[in-house]
Amino acid sequence: MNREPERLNPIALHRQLAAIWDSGKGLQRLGAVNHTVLGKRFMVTAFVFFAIGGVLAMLIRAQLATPHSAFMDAATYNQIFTMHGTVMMFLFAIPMLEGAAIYFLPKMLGARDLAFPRLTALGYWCYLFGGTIIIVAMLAGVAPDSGWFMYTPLSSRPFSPGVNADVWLLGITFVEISAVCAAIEITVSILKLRAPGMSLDKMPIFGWYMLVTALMMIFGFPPLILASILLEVERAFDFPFFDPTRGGDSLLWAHLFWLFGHPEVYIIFLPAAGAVSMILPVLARNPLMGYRAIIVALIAMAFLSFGIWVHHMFTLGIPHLALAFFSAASALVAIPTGIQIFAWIATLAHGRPRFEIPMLYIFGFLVVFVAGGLTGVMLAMVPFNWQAHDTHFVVAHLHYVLVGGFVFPMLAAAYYWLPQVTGRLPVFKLSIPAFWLIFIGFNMTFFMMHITGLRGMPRRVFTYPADIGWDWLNLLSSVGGFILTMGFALFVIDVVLQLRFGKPFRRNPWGAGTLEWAQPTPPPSYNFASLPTVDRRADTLDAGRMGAELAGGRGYLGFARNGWMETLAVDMTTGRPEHVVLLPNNSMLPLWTSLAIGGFVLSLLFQFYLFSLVPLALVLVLALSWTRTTGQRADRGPIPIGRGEMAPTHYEISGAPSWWGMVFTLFANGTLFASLLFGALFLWAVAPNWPPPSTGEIGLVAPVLVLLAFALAAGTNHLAVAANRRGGSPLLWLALCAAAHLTAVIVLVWCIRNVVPDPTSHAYAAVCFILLAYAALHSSLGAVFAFYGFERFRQGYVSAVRSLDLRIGSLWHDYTAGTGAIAVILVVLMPALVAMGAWQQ
Amino acid sequence: MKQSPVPARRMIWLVLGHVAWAAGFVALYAGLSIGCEYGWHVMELAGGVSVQRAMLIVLFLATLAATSVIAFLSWRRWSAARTKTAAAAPAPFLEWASFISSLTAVAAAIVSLAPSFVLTTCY
Repeated sequence: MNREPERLNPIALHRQLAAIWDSGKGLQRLGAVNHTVLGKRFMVTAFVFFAIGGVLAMLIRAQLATPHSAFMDAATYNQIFTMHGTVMMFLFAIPMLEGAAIYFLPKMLGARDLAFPRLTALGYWCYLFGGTIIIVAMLAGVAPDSGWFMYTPLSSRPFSPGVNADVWLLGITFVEISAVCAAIEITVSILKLRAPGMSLDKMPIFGWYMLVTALMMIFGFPPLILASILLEVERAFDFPFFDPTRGGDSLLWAHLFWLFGHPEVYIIFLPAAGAVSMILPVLARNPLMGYRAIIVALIAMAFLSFGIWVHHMFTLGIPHLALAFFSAASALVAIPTGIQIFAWIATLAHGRPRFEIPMLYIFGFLVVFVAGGLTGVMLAMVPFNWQAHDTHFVVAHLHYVLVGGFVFPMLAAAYYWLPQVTGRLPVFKLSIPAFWLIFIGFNMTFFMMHITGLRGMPRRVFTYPADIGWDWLNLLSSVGGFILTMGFALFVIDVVLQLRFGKPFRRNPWGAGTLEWAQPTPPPSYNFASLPTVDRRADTLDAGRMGAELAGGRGYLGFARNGWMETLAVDMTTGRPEHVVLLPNNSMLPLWTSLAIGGFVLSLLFQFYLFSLVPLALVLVLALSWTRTTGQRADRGPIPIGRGEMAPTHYEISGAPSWWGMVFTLFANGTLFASLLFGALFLWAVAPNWPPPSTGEIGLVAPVLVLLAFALAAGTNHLAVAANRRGGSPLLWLALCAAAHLTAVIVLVWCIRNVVPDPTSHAYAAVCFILLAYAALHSSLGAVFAFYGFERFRQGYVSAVRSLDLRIGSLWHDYTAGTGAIAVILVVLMPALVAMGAWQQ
Repeated sequence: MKQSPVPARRMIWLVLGHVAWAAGFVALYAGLSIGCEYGWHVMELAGGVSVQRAMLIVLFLATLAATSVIAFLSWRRWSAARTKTAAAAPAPFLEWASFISSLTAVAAAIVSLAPSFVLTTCY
């Protein structure tokens, strides 16, 4: 067992590894968990949605080409522009960046796959099904129609009585599951699954960009998920979170939405900027200048981007001093952005640039994005913002930023990395006319909107009068839009031609110094026949030499063993080899699980609330069945990893990727909880029609009982871990842990039913209901975790050395105890806060 | 298993300054909103300074102090790391980046929150 497997010749090694890692044929492909397959699926699906969004944009431009157009009525136009924004933001931009990260990160970092391959697959299916629900709704004529940011009260039941808004809330939340899954996976993979020796300061810059982006997603998406849940609960059950007549507030929706929405812009931009930072140095033949400064700029940008959400809300009646805070922060964020642009200019200035096709698109990116950034600084200034708010000037700005900051870099990336993906070089030069059509068409479309906006043309109007100076500008915009579309059509043709007739090549056509070019092209399913060692910054490597060595099995894990899908995990900071990660093989479970989640979403959409419990239970059963193929029933100790070194498997160490996965899951969950607390306190402090008619009397007995149960659950699980570490049995402690959770659930449900006033009566009661329900839900899952630990020990998967299952459970129990206690204490204190508020007023 | 020469917790210093800035930012915004709601801006504390203004200035100074202390500590860590010849990679990088990142947090605190001193609060 502990002898290193025999070294094979490269071809035999390839065959053995391919047999383990390949995704199978025919229907077996539905069970693929490989990051190369799934990354491509994400990108292709995102491009299909981009095409759909593009067609919707054409419809918008056709409608606005002339005044008094009869092409569409107002109701249809509302659906079309809402769907255009929704599709482009949620179904194209984010999944495209996720797809690129999923495909490239393991290749750039020197790993064989991402940390949680089945999670990647689940994320893909959730994305596909969620997106499909939204598109099908559009085809059925019931698409969302309240704008892509779904402001209440427009999206509330009285003003949007149909199913349209529900499609958005449920469909987008379904897609968001995919985004959060991807963010957790990307974070853990970057931190743990790198090539040995790749310390943080040697990581390719794209890794840093994606690390910052993924962390932003973990903290940025939960406010929107919470907002969607609250609004759906309001629409379905009449809980008045956003209804000002019953103590709710529409402003709460705007806050929660933009807490997500502004970081979202940077979440979209940063990966694209990361791609530029990878491509530009190669084509400039000069390593990236300011590598460290860029990393600091990224961190600053990430935080500042969260601190400027209110700059979308300058006209919503917020105190002027607060506007100054957000205005200043909005202007500040231009500085870290500028640092990156100057780093790219310096890289070019000190290099010997080659003006290849990707460079053309980078030129387009720089021109368009800088223009968008400048109008962004204009809009950050409150007086100007008040003038330009909700006009086409804002439409122009956001398209300059998003198309400039995402689409142009992605086109550059497509031309740069397509040879890596396909193994073929382009033979035609359609990319050049495609670029000029896109560049000219884009500027013609959107530059005009600055002028129509400054002339007062509002957004989201389906028609406009003639003879007020908007008509010829709109006509030019529409013509530009169709030129832009022709450019994209040419791009698609060019890619198809490259796939079909492209020239095969051996390796690394650009002379790049990053690991994805040290692979055969197109890359095999296992990425590297053996894993590289990195001893310098990972964008200055000799990819050609390394490629041959790695294919010959002369790196780490240069063998196939026991049919295992193995990759190495390293120490987060130093990149020292730490343990072997045994990845799960192909499985249909992600597909079945996402179908069950889809069933749950559809049940809610069609208001089969009781029935929705069936697919929900199925989700739980399927999620538990994921663990049937993981774990080991015996302690193995360190095993050979090549180069004469040994390392344990991830089941036998303390900081396994799955443990970190739970940590980051709880960060995301904690952000959702913090957003809920923010919502509760916001309504108490700001919302009209407080105090509520009744606050209910929760007393002290029930809360104390719940707090004790939480403490007991967390404590007993720690005792279980300690008993297991000593070689004893943790079963009794785990049983007590489950019992404590169930006690907490019973008392919490009793409180919800008997103490909290009717949650439809006032936002106060609705907030108390949700806080207690959050605690109860987490405690229920805590009982499941305890039961799971119990079963895993009983089945022999847990020992003094293999305690991962129990320690992951500990994280959940501690989190539940902490957040549950805060929720219960807040509910206890709420009547006092209400009384204080009434006295102050 | 051997302990890492550069424990993962050191990475927290990369973001600590900005976490302090973000906490101060949210506290100021929340304090301002609550104060405006309950009329603290028209309650005079002393010498023509309202309760609202005093609270905002205290919160601003606390944020500035927190970010500055973090920047100072980061500078000391960086100084120690660059003079230590055998410091394991990536310690010098992490300490440098943490120090510069903390400095940017101090700058962000001053630029974004200093309006607390001068601008009208609730109109």
